[in-house]
Amino acid sequence: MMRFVPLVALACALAAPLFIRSDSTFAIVTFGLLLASLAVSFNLIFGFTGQLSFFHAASFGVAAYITAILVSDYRWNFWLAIGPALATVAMLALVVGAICFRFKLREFYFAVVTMAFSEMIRLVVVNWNSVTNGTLGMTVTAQPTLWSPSGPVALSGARVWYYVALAVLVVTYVVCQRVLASWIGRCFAAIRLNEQLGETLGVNVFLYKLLSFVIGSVLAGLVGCFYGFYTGFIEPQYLSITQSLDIISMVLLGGVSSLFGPVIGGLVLTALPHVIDLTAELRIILYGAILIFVILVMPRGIFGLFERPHHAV
Amino acid sequence: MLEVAALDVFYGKQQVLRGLNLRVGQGEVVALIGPNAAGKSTTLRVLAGLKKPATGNIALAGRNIGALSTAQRVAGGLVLVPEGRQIFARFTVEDNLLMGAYARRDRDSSRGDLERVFAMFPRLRERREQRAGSMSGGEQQMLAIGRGLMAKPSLMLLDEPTLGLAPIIIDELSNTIHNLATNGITILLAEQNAAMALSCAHRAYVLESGRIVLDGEAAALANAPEVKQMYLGS
Repeated sequence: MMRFVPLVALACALAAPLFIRSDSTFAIVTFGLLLASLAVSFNLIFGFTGQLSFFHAASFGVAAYITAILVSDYRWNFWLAIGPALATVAMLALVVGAICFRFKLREFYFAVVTMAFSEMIRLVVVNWNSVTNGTLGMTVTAQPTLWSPSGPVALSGARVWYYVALAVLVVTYVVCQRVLASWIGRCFAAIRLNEQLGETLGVNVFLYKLLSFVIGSVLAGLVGCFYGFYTGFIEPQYLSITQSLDIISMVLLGGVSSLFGPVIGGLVLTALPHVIDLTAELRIILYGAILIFVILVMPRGIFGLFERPHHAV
Repeated sequence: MLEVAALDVFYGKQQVLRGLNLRVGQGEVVALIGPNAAGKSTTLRVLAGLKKPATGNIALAGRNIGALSTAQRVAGGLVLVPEGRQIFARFTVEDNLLMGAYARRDRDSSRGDLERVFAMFPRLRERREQRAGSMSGGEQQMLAIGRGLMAKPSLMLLDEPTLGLAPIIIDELSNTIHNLATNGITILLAEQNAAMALSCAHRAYVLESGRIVLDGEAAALANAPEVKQMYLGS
């Protein structure tokens, strides 16, 4: 039964623009979809492999910067710029992951060390003024184009970006799902549940942790590539610890034990501040209170309430 | 089948195995008995490739396997069933079993081997969709052995399978070990429960403080005064 939830949700999402009228609603949902993609890829590392990474914002931010710089300053085609952006993220994740997992860092040690690497990269971005424009951030005016028989069409407008964001989420989701449905997913779960036993059965714990970390990080990078062009603005804040914490909140809110939970978490957490019709100070208090309440009362997250726990992955 | 020569193993500066020599013949059930912290588990972990020895030789079927990874050893038919009924508590029984075939080169065709395991442990068939953690201790131990079988082992290393089990389950376990041996699986059994181990095994080694102090036919050892006094409580 629960297997069909994502498909039904996708059908609803495809039809939704027929019912959405205001551009601001489109904007909220588009942000929600992009952040949900981040949450889904984060959960591959956290919920499915059991590694609390604080590197996700860095992967996201680095890819956003590289694509924007290649397109704005070097006049690259947006789609081609995705390649080097993701390759760079993959390299960074490979190095950071290899160091952490070679030294067998677990739980909070892993979290703190990935956080340190993430901060290191953020400081490079902040201080490399000539390339990144430092703390001021970069305005991204270029628009990605799609090929069409009548010439290139620019990706612009609320409706178009809504579908772009949906496509990013679908790609992220499907990649994670294919990975988890294979032996790789079983090994991730084995590592999460009993690393030593996994090792006894012949699972190369180092390799699979690294694989999970790199795949998740590259998918975060994919979101980053699009995110900057949607908002039209990129700043070092993208790589901050706060950004990583937001992603963690989304996953905890939606539910760690499924692929679909983080989708709900991402959408709800993005929409929540806009739905609460209060002054800014009160809004943030209520927002925080709701988050704390949900985590206390529903440790398995919103989606966790509906799913029947049974299979390994 | 298995030849271990002059094994020295350290944890930090502390030496836990001292010049260990061990031999297990094809089709044999060999017991490794001794008190807590004698080095029994360490021996099995070294054989499985989970702990690196400082020096020494390990040969399986005449081939030196010292440099092989755990996965390569499992693929080569050497499987460890670790101490303490290690299972994936949140996996179903079936997923636990399938995970046992992970290191096999033909793991994608391992589903068919479930039947072999279920034939040996009918209880596991009844519970195949159930979460492994919800089963009793004895059932979990059977699951751990069944998972070992899924790797199609020629040599199985059993680490303290009786730990914390009721006497009636221990009897069942003896039968299981006998069954495995009849099916052509060679067994090295590390046990504190010397009575059970000696009754199952053909031969046995007595390990104390990382050294083999006695070895011989299991029946003869069971009657040796040192063993009787130290391990059989009579």
